Amino acid sequence: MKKCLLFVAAALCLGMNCSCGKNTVNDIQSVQETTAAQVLDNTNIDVDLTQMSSTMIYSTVSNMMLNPNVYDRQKIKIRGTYRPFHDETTGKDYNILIIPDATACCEQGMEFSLAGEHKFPDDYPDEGQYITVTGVFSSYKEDGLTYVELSDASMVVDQA
Amino acid sequence: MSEILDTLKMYFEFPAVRYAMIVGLLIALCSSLLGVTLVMKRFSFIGDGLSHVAFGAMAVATVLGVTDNMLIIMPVTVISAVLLLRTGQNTRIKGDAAVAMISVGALALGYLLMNLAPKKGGRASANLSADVCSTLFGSTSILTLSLKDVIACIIMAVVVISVFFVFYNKIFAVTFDESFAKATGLHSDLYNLLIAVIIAVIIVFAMNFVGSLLISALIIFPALSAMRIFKSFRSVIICSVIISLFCAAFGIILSILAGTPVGSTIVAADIGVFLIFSLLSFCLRRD
Repeated sequence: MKKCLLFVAAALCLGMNCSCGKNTVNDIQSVQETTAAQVLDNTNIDVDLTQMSSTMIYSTVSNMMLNPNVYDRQKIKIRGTYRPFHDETTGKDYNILIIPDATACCEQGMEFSLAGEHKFPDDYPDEGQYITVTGVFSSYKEDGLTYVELSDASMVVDQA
Repeated sequence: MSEILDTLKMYFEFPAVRYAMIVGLLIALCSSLLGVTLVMKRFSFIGDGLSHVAFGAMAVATVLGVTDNMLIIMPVTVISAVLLLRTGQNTRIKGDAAVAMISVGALALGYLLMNLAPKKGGRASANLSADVCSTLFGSTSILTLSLKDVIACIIMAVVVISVFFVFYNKIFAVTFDESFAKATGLHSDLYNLLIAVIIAVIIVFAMNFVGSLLISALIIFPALSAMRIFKSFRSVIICSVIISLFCAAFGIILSILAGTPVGSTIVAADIGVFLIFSLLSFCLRRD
């Protein structure tokens, strides 16, 4: 009996160390879909999040944050609300696509940079407006942290 | 219909969805096996208490900046399970009160610590609501598992199932009449300890599945549904396992198709089956 219990304890410890660790995952999404007419560039899209349910968008964006290498250089299409961000310390401006989850208790920001020259705020929508962005996924390090962005992106603003 | 199948096929090309289905079914299997024992021993609410303890331990791990938070969550939850199941009835604070006290206490302190954690490091608290939401309700945690997580869950499932079948007769004896089992020379305390450890492990893993607030549903609903129709220990367990697996698979598929939270959808499926079985039981009794 004791041997059996020892075996069980050892096996459980092994399982523990492998860890089912749910690291903190940022969040995300929305279930909204977009029409084809709203999007400028629909060609060769590797991951089209506009065609997924909110749960799958949430999951996919979370996985992009956790494993950016898997999605590196892939063309991603995603819809959310626009939010500009100015970093006072570095003086840099960022364009963020906010993807809330279905219950709006969680949201995930995806940085994007448009292809070509664009002037803020003239060439950008108002904060909170829904946009669909198609861009190439990449990650970069800043201050020791890894960030992800959609570069060389195109953007369509919802007309609603 | 074919459109839904095509969508489902597309979703299953994502490793995260396949991992979620594997882990979901394994956790459903393990929780339903032990669920019958816990319900019959009047410990239905222990799942809730322990899951809140696990939440509190996760908050402590976050505050301490422990990378692998399992190193804190697992031991704390196991110790709490042992204390609740073994000494809960022999202390000044009785079993149900002890579970309730630990449950709400750990939840409150966990949330408090989660709020303090970002301020301590001076970091932004952008992830806080997501972490809490995900941990409490299991919004999509199960859809962000890695291969390492899946392997850990498979090991856990193999251990739990092995223990259950190896000690089936002993667990049966302890479940139905602990005093009689003790009188026949069975080390009932030892088996209670074993059950406590296993249930703690299942709960920690199940946190990723349905969230800490909904774990009890995963443990008790399949068992209660099966008990509506079947009467013997074995038939109740078999039926409970089938119900649990069905609800887990149905819940995961529905949630990714309809965009609903995974944990809540699975629990809703469990509730639906319970209502159907209750109705069946009522009809059978009338006949």
